Amino acid sequence: MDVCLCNGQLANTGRSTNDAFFGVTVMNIAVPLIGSNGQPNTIDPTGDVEAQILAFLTAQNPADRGYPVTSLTNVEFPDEGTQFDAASNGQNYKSRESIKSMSYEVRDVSYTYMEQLRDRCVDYGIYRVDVCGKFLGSLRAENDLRPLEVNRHSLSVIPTDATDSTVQKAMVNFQFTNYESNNFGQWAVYEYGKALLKAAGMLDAVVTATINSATEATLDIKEIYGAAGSKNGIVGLALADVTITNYTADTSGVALTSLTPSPTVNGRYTAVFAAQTTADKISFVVYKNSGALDVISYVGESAQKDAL
Amino acid sequence: MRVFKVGRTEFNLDALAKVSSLKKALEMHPSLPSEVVEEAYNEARPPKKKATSKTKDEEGN
Repeated sequence: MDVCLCNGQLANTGRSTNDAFFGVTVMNIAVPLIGSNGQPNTIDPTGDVEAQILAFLTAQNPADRGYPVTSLTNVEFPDEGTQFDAASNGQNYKSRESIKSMSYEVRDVSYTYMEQLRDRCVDYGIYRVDVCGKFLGSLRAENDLRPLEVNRHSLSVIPTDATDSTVQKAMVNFQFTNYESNNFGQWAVYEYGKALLKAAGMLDAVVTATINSATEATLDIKEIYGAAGSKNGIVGLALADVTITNYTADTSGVALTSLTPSPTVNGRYTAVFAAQTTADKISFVVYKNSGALDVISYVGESAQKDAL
Repeated sequence: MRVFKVGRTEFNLDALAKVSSLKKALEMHPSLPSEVVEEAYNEARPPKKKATSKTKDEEGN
C-alpha cells in the first residue's frame, strides 16, 4: 500500500508492450536542483533534448551545469528498509517507504578525481543513464523531467587503494531524498541513445596570470590532473576562449586583442589586451565550450591581479 | 569578433582596429615580431590609399 495514496481500488497491472523500462545504470549526470535564474533545472522531453543536454554539459555557470560521471561499475541500490509499526498482535502497518539509495564504483581514478566526486555542496539531483543511453529522471509534468533529488548530506566517497588484485577506485554511495523515495511512481525514462554514454563534461582550468605590462600577461593554463609539479597544460585554446573580468570597473567578457600559445610550453599563452586603469583588479577567465557532447570543455579563472 | 591568425597568434581585429597607430600596436605586443603585428594591424585598419595622379587631375579639372 502506498502510504500517501489510497483511492479505494487496486491499480491496473496489465503489461503494455510499450512500457519504458530502465537497464543497468552505467552513468550519472549530477545537476544542481536550482539554476542561476532561480528556477529548477529540468529537461523538457518534448523539446530538443540533445540541445538541452549539451547546454547542461557545457554551461559556464556552475549552477546551470550537468556533471557526468561515467563508467560506473558494481552499481547497486541497497534498500534502507521500509518501516512498519508492528501491533501487539504481530500485524504490520507501513509507516514509511524504504529510503532509496545508490552505490557504485569508479575505477582507475586518482585521488584528485575522487575529491571532485566528493565536492557536492549544493542541493542536487542526478539523471541516471543506462547502458542503452536512456536516462531516468522525475517527471513532474510532460515537459518537466527533473533530476532525481539526492540527499547530499548522505554522500560518501571512499578512496580505495590498489592491491595485487584490484585497481585504485572510488566507492560512492548516497541516499535519494525522502521525496524521491516516496514518489518513484513518477520516475520516467527518456530514450536518448548510446551517444549519451560518451558525454565528456567539463574540466577545471587552473589559470595562473603574470602581468607583464599594461597590455600583456603570461597565462599558464593547466588541468588539475597530472603528476605533482607537472600538471597537464591545456592546449588548443582560442582567442575567444579567454576574456578579462575587471572587478573594479564591474565589466566582464572583455575580449583580448591577441592570444599566442607558447611553442615550447604546453598550456602557456601570451595574452595582449587593451590597457585597463592602473591598479584595477582584473582576472583572466577561460571558458571553452566544445559545442559537442563527446568533447571536453574547460572553465576556470585566475586570481585577481592589479592592472599595471 | 573578427579573428585573424598570423602564425600561431590569433588577433582580434575589432580590438586592434581601435588602436590608433601601428606604433601603439607594436608597443602593445612587445613579445611578437613586428612583421606579425603589422600584418594583423593592416588587416584591421587597411592603409588609406593615396590619391592617384589621375584622381588629382580629375579633381583639378
